[in-house]
Amino acid sequence: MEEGTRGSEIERLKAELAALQQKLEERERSEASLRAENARLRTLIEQLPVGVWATDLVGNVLMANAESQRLLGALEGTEPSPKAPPVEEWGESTVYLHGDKSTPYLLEELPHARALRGESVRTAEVFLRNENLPEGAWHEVHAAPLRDASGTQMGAVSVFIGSESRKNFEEEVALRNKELVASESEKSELIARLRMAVQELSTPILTLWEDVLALPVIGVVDSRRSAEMMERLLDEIVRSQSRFVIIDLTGVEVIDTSTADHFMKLVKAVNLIGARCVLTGIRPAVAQTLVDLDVNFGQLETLRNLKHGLRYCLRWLDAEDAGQNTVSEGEARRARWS
Amino acid sequence: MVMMMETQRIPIVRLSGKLIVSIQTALSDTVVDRLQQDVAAACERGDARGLVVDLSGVDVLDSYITRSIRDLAVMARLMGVETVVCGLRPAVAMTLVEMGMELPGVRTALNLDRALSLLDSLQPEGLPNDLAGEGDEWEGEA
Amino acid sequence: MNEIAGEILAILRRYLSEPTSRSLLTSAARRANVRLEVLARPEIPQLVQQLGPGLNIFLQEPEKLQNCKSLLALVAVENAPSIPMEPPQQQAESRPDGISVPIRAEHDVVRARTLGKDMAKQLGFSEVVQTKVATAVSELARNIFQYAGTGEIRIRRIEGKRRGIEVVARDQGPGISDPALILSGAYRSKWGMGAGLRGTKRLVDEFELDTHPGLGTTVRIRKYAE
Repeated sequence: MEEGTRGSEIERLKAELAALQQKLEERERSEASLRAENARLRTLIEQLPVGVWATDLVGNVLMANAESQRLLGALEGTEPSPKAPPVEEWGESTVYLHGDKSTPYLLEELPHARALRGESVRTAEVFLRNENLPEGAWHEVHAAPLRDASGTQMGAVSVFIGSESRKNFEEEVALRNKELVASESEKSELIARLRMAVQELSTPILTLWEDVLALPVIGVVDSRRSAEMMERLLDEIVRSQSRFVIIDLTGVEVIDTSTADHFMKLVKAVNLIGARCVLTGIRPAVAQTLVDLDVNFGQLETLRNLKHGLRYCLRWLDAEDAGQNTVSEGEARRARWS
Repeated sequence: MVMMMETQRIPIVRLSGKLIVSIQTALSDTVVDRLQQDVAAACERGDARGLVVDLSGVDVLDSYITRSIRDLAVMARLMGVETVVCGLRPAVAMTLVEMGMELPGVRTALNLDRALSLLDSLQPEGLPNDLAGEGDEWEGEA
Repeated sequence: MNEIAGEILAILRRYLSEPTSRSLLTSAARRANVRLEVLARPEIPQLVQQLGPGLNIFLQEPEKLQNCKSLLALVAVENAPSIPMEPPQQQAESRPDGISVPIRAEHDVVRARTLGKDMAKQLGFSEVVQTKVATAVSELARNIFQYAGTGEIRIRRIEGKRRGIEVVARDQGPGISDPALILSGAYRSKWGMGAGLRGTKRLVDEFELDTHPGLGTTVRIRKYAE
């Protein structure tokens, strides 16, 4: 009977062995497929066009793909280091700056450091410079904590892309903006200059003769224009030391109270600085207004037109230069009415 | 340490019989009084053929000083000495006119040279006929 | 620039604009071969000597020039106060809301108007507008001096949408009994306080008069940059 028992025992063991072998093969198959999948995933991450860099909580590097190395300036072909220094030491080899390219990052503010503390960081802009990247480089960084199946954090991962071109674009836009603003202010300066030129052209101060200036007034004179005109005229009188100013109003069809007021002020100012005014070309409507306003013409000679005005001034100047104070009444009359 | 400021005296210069007063510094009460006295004394001598007040050094003229200058001219005229004011700056002239301030009865000239020639040509006795009337004033709108 | 050099700059700035003071001082320091960062009192006389020509150009009035040079000379004396000679309550104080000039004597009228002109100049006002501001200040200050005896002129910058200058003239004098009459020009004395106020009103953009017999007078004026 012993043989029978031994026989069935052997059969049993064979069957177990076969089952174990089968299990082993299955195991191997699933491991192989896991390995294959793992390899595929790794290849995928390796070839991602973004930098992926993951560490556990104590700095062991879990993943550092090729792009991450490239972006961090590592030379091609070098192996990523398996252990990252603690966050406090990161500043020793690399300079990290904020988006303004001048404010340094506090190390604990860096995205990966924040992720290690459990924060999720989206779109942080980091400019970094190290010995492999002496010119520095712009990175757009996203970072997140890594949790295991139970939800406990066991590390952090940072994903970053080079944002050089976008940064360059932004900088160019800012530069263009500045140029635009400058050209705007240049334009408004130009407009102001043009306006001044137009004003000067519309009321030019002409040198008619030695000691005689002429101011032909055309169109409407508002208060700003009149103030500017007065200043220009007075300055020119002083500069040229001209004794007479002929104000020709041929081009003025109608005049209102305030314009008349401005002119009288002009005449008074000219008198104060030691020169004299002569008015010519007063139109009927203007004459009426001046009379209505009861304008005092005490110091003011009025003549028909520029020609008469000039003749009057010249006669007066001759007399003055010859040492006589006044032109005789007859002469003055002749100058006025001929 | 105490800083004593001497009351300034505006010098009166004589040039071919005419008196020239050149105002350079800010006029004050005391200085004006002094000037009036000095001018009166000079006019009293009887040999002054005119007075020139040169305002080219004045950058601000308020109503008080303007009145003082006018008083000076009137006083001189009463003593037979004609006055001419010269050198008034454009900015000051514009301000005076804007204020409605005048120098009635006071002649003006562009510069010292012309002021002197003007005085030369004036007949001491006769009333020159380009004199603005007293109380002549345009009080228009600002 | 050290403290001592700072004292010298402060003195210059009482008479000249900031940029002018600075450039005069730096070029004088260069010529005198002294360094403003470590300026020592014994070096001051040679520095002041080099400042001389520049001061002569920029300070036309002999009174001001003399004052300035005396003040500068004082800085050289060890332990001398670097504050100007007048007793503290008499100098123009610079307050956050403007510079205040007490009007007690006639020369304060001149001080006030010079200050007004300087401030207008610093604000970039044209020559004519500077003159108008200075004249307005002169009128108000003189009114205080002639009718109230003492008072104050305060001048300050107006910032914001419209830049400009504001002058407040305040006194505890007798007050004006009928301001409307005075200002309307109906009571037409050609000279005097009324004329001065009317004239001032024409020179400025805003004019306020607050007065009552026995309670003094406050006049507030404003001139804006165009």
